[in-house]
Amino acid sequence: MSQSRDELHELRLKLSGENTSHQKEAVKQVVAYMTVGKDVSSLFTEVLKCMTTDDLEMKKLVYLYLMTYAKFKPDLSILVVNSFIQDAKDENPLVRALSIRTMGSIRVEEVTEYLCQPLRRCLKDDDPYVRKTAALCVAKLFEMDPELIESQGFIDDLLELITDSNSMVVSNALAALQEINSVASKPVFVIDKKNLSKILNAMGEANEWSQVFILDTLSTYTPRNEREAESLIERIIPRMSHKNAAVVLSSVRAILQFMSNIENKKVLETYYRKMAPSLVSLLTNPPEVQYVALKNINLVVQKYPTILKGSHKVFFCRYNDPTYVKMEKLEILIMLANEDNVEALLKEFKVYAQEVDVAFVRKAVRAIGLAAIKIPSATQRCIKHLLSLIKSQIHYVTQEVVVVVKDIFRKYPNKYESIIGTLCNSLTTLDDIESKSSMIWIIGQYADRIENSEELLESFLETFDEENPEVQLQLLTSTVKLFLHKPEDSQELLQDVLSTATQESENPDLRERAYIYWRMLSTDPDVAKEIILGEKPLIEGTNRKYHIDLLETLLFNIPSLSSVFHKPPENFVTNIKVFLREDEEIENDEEGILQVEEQREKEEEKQQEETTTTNQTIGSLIDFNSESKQQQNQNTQQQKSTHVVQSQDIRQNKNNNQDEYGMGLSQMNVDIPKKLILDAEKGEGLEIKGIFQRRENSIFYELSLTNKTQAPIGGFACVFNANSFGLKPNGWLLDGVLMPMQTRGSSLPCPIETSHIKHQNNQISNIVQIAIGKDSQVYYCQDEVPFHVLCTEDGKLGRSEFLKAWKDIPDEVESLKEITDLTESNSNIVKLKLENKNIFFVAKRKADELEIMYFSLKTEMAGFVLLELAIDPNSNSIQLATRTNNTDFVEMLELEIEKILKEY
Amino acid sequence: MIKSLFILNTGGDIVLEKHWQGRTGRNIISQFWNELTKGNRTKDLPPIIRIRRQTLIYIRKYNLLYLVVADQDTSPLMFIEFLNRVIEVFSNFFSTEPTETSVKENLPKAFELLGEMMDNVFPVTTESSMLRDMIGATMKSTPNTIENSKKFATLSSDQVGGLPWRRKNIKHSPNEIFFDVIESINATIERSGKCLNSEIISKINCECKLSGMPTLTMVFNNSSILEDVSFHQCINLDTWERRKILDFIPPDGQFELLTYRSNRMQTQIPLYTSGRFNWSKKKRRGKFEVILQLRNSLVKSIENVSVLIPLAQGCSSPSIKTTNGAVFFNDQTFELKWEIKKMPKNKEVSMKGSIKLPSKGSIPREKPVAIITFSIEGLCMSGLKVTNLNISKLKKKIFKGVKFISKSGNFTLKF
Repeated sequence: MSQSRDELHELRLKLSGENTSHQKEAVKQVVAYMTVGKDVSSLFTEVLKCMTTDDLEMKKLVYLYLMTYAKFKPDLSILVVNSFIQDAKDENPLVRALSIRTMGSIRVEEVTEYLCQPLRRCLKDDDPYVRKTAALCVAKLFEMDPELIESQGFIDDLLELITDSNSMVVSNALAALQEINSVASKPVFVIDKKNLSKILNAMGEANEWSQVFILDTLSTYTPRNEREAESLIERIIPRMSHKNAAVVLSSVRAILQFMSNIENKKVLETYYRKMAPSLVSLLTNPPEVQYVALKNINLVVQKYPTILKGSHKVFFCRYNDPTYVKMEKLEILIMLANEDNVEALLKEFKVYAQEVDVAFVRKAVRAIGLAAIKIPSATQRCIKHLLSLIKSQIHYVTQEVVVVVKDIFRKYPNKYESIIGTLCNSLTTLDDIESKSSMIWIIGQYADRIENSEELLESFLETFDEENPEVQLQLLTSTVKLFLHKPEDSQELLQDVLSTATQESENPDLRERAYIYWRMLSTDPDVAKEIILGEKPLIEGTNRKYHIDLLETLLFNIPSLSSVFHKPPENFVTNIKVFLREDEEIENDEEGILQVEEQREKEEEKQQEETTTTNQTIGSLIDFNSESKQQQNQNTQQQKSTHVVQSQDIRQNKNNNQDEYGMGLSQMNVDIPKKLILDAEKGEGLEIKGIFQRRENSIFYELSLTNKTQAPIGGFACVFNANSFGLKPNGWLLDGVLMPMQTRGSSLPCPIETSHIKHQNNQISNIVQIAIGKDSQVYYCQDEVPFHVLCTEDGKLGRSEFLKAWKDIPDEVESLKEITDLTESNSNIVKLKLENKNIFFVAKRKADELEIMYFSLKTEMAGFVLLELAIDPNSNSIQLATRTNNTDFVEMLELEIEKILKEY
Repeated sequence: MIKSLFILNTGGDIVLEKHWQGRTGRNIISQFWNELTKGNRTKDLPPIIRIRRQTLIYIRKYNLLYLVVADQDTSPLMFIEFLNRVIEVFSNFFSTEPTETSVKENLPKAFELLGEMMDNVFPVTTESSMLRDMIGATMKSTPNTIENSKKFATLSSDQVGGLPWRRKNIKHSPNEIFFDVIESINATIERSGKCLNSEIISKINCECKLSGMPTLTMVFNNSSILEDVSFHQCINLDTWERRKILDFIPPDGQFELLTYRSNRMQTQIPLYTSGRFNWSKKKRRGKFEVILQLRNSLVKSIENVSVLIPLAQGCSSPSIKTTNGAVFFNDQTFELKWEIKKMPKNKEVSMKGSIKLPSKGSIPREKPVAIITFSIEGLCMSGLKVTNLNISKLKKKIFKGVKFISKSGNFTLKF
């Protein structure tokens, strides 16, 4: 510990010294410390002084330091700004660019304002390198403060750069505009006839990354006619041979987009032919690139099934391919299967089915089945392979074969029945739902041809009550089929099943289906037979996994995450765009909510009651008698009001902590004044201040301990009594000894443990009773847990999730509270204050005078909580509506929100 | 959009973290690590995953794991390619492959490089030769002062003017350029020796020490071999599209000019391979035999041939006979390696033997594979030849050369 203090001291001396080489060494060392998470923020002033250096390398390191720490030293950031502004005027273009770049990355609001002037100058700089850097900076700032950027006219400056004489500047300006488009409420830039040729020229000269941005921008352009589409494609085709896979993929996307404007089959055919080798070439890259490529190829092949004709061998799995690559390759192989290659593919599939990875093996078995369904001429061979796989006696292989055989029967009814015998012999090993129901289906369907079908079915029926609903439904249907085939052998069986299903089952689907069968059979068995055993529609082997609309969306989003996860982009994008665009819709949705809610059943209420029962049986860790408890209560309350700690003290304290113990960066944001929980008198010379805080997804009890005696104190321990939130300290209160008059800080992680939940006097309370031990003495005290520390970082709901959740909670459960006498009711400030405490903004709308805001938060014990704040700016008051499935904590939460909003 | 980059070691500890937009808590790293190591399937986690509404994209190289965190819809391939480029640049600047030690030793330089390579979310300068001018490495040789601003003015214009991959005023003496055509044969061979499938993945590496701004044209005997081709960005793609010749101003130093893939071979696979492997349930032993023979009349000899058989966990006590070469068994990784320094001509070589399975546990269901490696100089499997290499704009005498190497890629024998 003291060693690190010495080091810091030495660094400080070197930094403020005159020797430049020592200075540089020191800066390097500081940066090295910073990267391993050591706190070197205390050297801020000294490092800042080094900014005036003439050494570019050192300057860069100083900038790097500033980028990391400026946030935590907003009071000093004005000093930083001045140096930046100086550097932005430097005669060296590299320094000008560096300063603009760094300023854009600092992300401290105070700095943003000062940045405008130098930024404007740099956008018009003589040096193209500075201009291009400034262009990117505009995009960065837009994300932080779109209004500022728009009002300052920076967008127009960017648009002007599109016509810049330097192609690098053009491509960077395009990249910036595209980035802004992706977060802005409405596009600030569209390609039109005028700028198209400029953009195409820039693409020819741009570096690989800019090419990606340009191609992606280009893809959004709609060609005016077929000829233009063709000429665009011709321009892009050469890019498909680029070494950078990202360029290739963006080219493919752009070409696919433009191809939809072309009707001429012959022309399209030539484009396919050119695209195929590029797609295939992507597979010569490292596995990570292959994975993305395969995901995208999958989409392209779904849309254009013949595009990779004859290339199937490329997708054969290698022994050292990672499983995620193998799975994707297999999927594509299935799509590529045809009459010509099926022989080779089956051979591969069979080898795959003998590998070790269970998921891959199952998929390989499926692949054989799909080939059988897709290519009738190969079915016989497929079945041969499947039979030999059953003989391997490996249970997951057998299970998969059963599922596959069922599908084959659904495609080719009454053919290939010879396989049934073998299947029936391997029944015992079925334990997953799908294969079980498949087997049961087969037994029912072929009940007349399987000799002992009633016996087989009976053995499944033994465990009817324990089965999954899906299996139960299948058992019901198959028993009915069996009865229709062999009424004399199975009447009893049917009776049993029908009565169990109608009388004992709690599953309405099962009940209802059983009733329907029952009625059909009792009304007219012949008609029933005709219906139940009638011909079924055949299943088709198709290449297309996704609906054409989804497929088009995915293809349009080719280089993005959508094309990897095969989900539409809404699933990932959680930025402002969605909210702003859909602001108006929310009002309409509101009416929808009401309608739906009126029709809702109130079953959930029951569930809520069940979930709130808590563990009452856990005994106290500390033996409090109720009297002393009350006493303590009063005591602490008194202390709270009288001993408000001066914030200056705390700052000192904090600096102490960091310098001496080199706390990591992540532990820096301890700036809330701690409360006195144990005074020196009661603690016999030990004074403790504490506060609950949340950071990095965990709850900490931040403590500072002062020894006011003349002797060292040691042997510290800290225990919490079971409390409403289940907080339980995990770790040492303080290591070692506290010297006389010394103050030391401690961060005690307090994870939530369900076994530690207990409501004192059966009432939910935010008071935690604490026992502090020192040198075998125990002191009792208590502290209040601010509710917001329980709000987790992942509490932000998407707009649609929020709406759904809101609808799911009945109106009656909603709790209302009026918060009045606010000093400030600006919605932005409300948002800021709440988001600071992990209460996340979801959406906003206006209703007459009121501003309605929606927030979500999540706690470990109560799940998601939904908030509606109706702000009346005239009276500075807020109507708060809270909806949650667990209403126990609502009152506490409401108080907390009032407190947060009234906080300065 | 990309927020942060983390480099992790094999134990999941952070070696380096770089943040472009705010700070990403280290918390997500531990969650990622849990996900990665879950169920001992370390190698199976796809390179792109979602954790808590964030997108994590990672690649591995040299025992390090490079991970970027993004929070919006983004182009994953771009960042995967960017990470690959980071590794390439690190290797160049650290003069060794980036490992935990070399990254830690070069931390300030690594940060400087990352700062230049990506501005906010935009990859910018990622070519080593250009970065060399931006980063301290060369600055040490010139006075480290800003007064030297003329130099910087040309530096900045190098960045944006003309070519992203080559700066002006390069001087070399002597002037020379060499090409290595390296063809890797991927093949899967059946136990009978029949080739199930094969392809050639090739690349042309170039080492260029030419002064000024030379323009090169390269003509091939048969351009159709280069049907599946990917080019370095210096190659004029339009000229290739129209005339099927390579037209380029090369970067300075070493670079990969192009890669191509072909499944047409002009000549026989030079090494004949066959073998068998069987698990004997009774004896709990695996019995095997591997046979190799040189069989291409164009090839005089192959050196350094090796056969690697990864065996099931717990295998032990090999008993092996070979006609040539030596056999090593690693009892930590359970790999059996047969090395033949020099393959004789017109003669079969073989390895025959058995290995013991652990006394408990099931008999492995699948048979192992044999991974065969070799390398032959002067042989070109695809039949590609450079018929003409022309260098313009350079008056001086130039040394130039093209060398061919054929070697094994993923060359496996399935027993």
